[in-house]
Amino acid sequence: MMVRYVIVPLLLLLGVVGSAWATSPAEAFAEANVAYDASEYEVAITLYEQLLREGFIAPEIYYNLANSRFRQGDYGQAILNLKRAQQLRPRDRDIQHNLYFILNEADAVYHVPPFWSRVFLRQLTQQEWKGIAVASWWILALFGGLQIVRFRNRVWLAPVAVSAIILLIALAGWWQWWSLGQRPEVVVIEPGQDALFAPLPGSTAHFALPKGSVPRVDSVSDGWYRVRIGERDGWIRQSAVEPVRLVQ
Amino acid sequence: MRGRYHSRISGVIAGFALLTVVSVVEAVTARMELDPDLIRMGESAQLRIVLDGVEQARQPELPNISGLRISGPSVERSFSMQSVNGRMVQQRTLSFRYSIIPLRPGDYEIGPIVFEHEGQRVQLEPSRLKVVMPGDATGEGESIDIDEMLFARLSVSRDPVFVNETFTLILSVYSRDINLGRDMSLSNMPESGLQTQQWQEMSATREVVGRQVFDVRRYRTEVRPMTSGTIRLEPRLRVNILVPRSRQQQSFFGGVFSNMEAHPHDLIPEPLDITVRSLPEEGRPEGFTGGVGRFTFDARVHPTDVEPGDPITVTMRIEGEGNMHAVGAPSIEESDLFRVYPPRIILNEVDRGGSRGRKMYEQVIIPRTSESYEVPALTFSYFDPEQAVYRSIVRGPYTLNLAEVAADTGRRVRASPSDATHVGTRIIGEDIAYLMPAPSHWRHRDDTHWHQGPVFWGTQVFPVIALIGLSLWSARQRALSVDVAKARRYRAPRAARAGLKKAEQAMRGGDEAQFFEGLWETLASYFGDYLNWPIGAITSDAVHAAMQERGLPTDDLDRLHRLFGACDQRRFAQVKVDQDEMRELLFTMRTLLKACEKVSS
Repeated sequence: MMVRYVIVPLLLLLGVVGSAWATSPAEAFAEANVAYDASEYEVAITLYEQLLREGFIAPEIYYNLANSRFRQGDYGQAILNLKRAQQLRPRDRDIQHNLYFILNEADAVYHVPPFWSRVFLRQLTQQEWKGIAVASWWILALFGGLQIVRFRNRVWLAPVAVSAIILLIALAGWWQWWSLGQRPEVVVIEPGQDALFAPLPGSTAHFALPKGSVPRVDSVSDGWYRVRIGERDGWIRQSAVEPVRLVQ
Repeated sequence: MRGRYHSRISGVIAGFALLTVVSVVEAVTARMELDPDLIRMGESAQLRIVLDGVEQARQPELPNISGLRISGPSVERSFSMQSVNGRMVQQRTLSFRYSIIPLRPGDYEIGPIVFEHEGQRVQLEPSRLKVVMPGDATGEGESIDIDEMLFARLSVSRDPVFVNETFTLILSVYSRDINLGRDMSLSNMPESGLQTQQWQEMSATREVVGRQVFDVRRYRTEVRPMTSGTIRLEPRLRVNILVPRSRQQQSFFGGVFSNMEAHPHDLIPEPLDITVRSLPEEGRPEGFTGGVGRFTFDARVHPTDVEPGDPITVTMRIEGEGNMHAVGAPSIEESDLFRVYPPRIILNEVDRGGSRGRKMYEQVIIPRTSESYEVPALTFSYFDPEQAVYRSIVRGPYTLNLAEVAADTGRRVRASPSDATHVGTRIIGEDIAYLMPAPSHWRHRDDTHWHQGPVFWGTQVFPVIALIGLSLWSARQRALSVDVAKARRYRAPRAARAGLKKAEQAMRGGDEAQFFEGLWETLASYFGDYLNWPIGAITSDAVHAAMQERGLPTDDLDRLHRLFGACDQRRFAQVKVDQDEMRELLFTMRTLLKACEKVSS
């Protein structure tokens, strides 16, 4: 029994990890998927995390890692990795589905940003907003230049206005992501956490933050985060949460 | 509040004293209306015979009644269109209006009235009219207290009542030989424990109280007690008594209305105690949600031919009178057989008082297995205050035609409350979506991208610089477009280039005529633009003087003079020059033009 349930998976894990360093990221990723299919979630997690440690960034890695964490019953880490995957690919329906499914399973709470913030954050990534902003900036300059040269002809005013509006929208989207980088979302990874009224151990609990909950940070103070869920806020130890932050 | 009773239009307003209806045949309905049924000597009453569905008819003959003088009738016809079951139906009414003036007091019976219409015999039951003397039994000149001429009474439609039961509270204002204003205000009503709606005026009537005829104004409101116990009502009603102004107070320009002045007067009706009972504990159904009144309940399940995982919509409808705001629909509880979503209200039509209306709810349920063959029965319970019993209306159970689903279909449909409302989606189970394939491109944290680094950000400044440059250029162009002299001065060197080129080419070809022509063109075009002169105005002396004025050095003035002189000699004296002289003249020209460019224009 011990050979079957302890030693074999351990050897497999060591073998797979050892080979992962020697293989390409695509091969390591494929091996992790195979391990997942074989219900070897520990192995899959090790391989996915190894890819991340090596500096590879892809929503697929975070997403598959989240699935493995979920299969292991670690809802907190699953939600954390799905939130990171969502930051890289906000329009992906699989990521969105799994995120809400696991949030539901974990009975976790999450901060719902205002409508416009949701619109900006859920439609395009920070890089996409940046790309649109730069493109519209150049288009605005082009049409602006044409308007300056042909100052008597106002035919270029409409393109100037349209590109200026697009630029403003793109800057707003960019700013939303920047703001998310400054006040990131955090995921509660420790069970049985409460948001307290003060950053002091033993302070009065304000509201419960089950494992996997996703509040947003308002401020930081000496090992504590002041976090917000909707209209309510409270303090939680930094060690009990993990920031989602991927954007800068 | 409304005016005096005799200004009303009789006929359709509820509460008229006598209303006799006789059905004749299916097509024709006749009725007789008398308003009012109590009058003083000197006043009149109106008798109206109304024939529905009739356009033409002989006027009914009224009997001669001793003590009454009946005049008329005046004939009125009305026509209207009404929608009945989706069809437009014509409504015709023919009315005969009689005026009745009493000749002496007494009790009179008018009718029965019998007449024929299109061969059919129509009989109207008699109406009773009471005629009294003005100031009957009061005694002329006798001192009368105001409280005997003006008072108010409170009454309720039911007593005792139950908590949350809606009942009617009526306020009656009795007045005799007093002209009351329209505005009234009520105060000192209980601030808690009793929910009161807006007061509505009922039709005015007359009543005999203590052998006196009183005009009665009535107001009603719907009230709902919130707690059990005894609620005492002792409101204060403020009315305005209208009194004619004295002659000194009347203004010359004042009309009829300004000749009356209002004197507020408080009426305090006898206190009214309302006993409010709690809803009985005995017999209270399990699903009772607090509805008190009379309600109907119905439910519908759709679709019934489903497979496990298919959403089913249960629609419930509650309608009736009572505390509609507290009424809630029964719901199906979550079980092993059904996954359920909370009911949501889809229609909420309740009147302002919240005492009558209808509500519709929808609940989505999803059979979990093929054993979910029946939607359980729905029970709506309420309390009937009139019978003082709880009533339950049961709808269902509803049988489902469930189709079996193969166990190995392996489909995974993502279910959420919003998905469940899409009829046709088969929700078999719920799970996370499967793994993603490997990314097509492996991005590393240390990779630099086109949108990173100082080069990218430095490039973004270029449009700003370009736009500033363009703006400056555009401003200059605009300035030149409005200042011709400046524009010509600006283009003078360019204008000279063509002539110089021509002269240079001629020099190389040894063509003297072309050379001097090029030389002259250079002088004419350059100084024409430089001085903003027409070509015809360009002469040696004029240009010399102008350039001297602008401060051209003497050497250059000599060069200018020499160049003009050489051109004139060639044009008028045909003087021959060799190539060295042409080169020297061309050099002189270039030197002169450079010198002129340095001179401020």
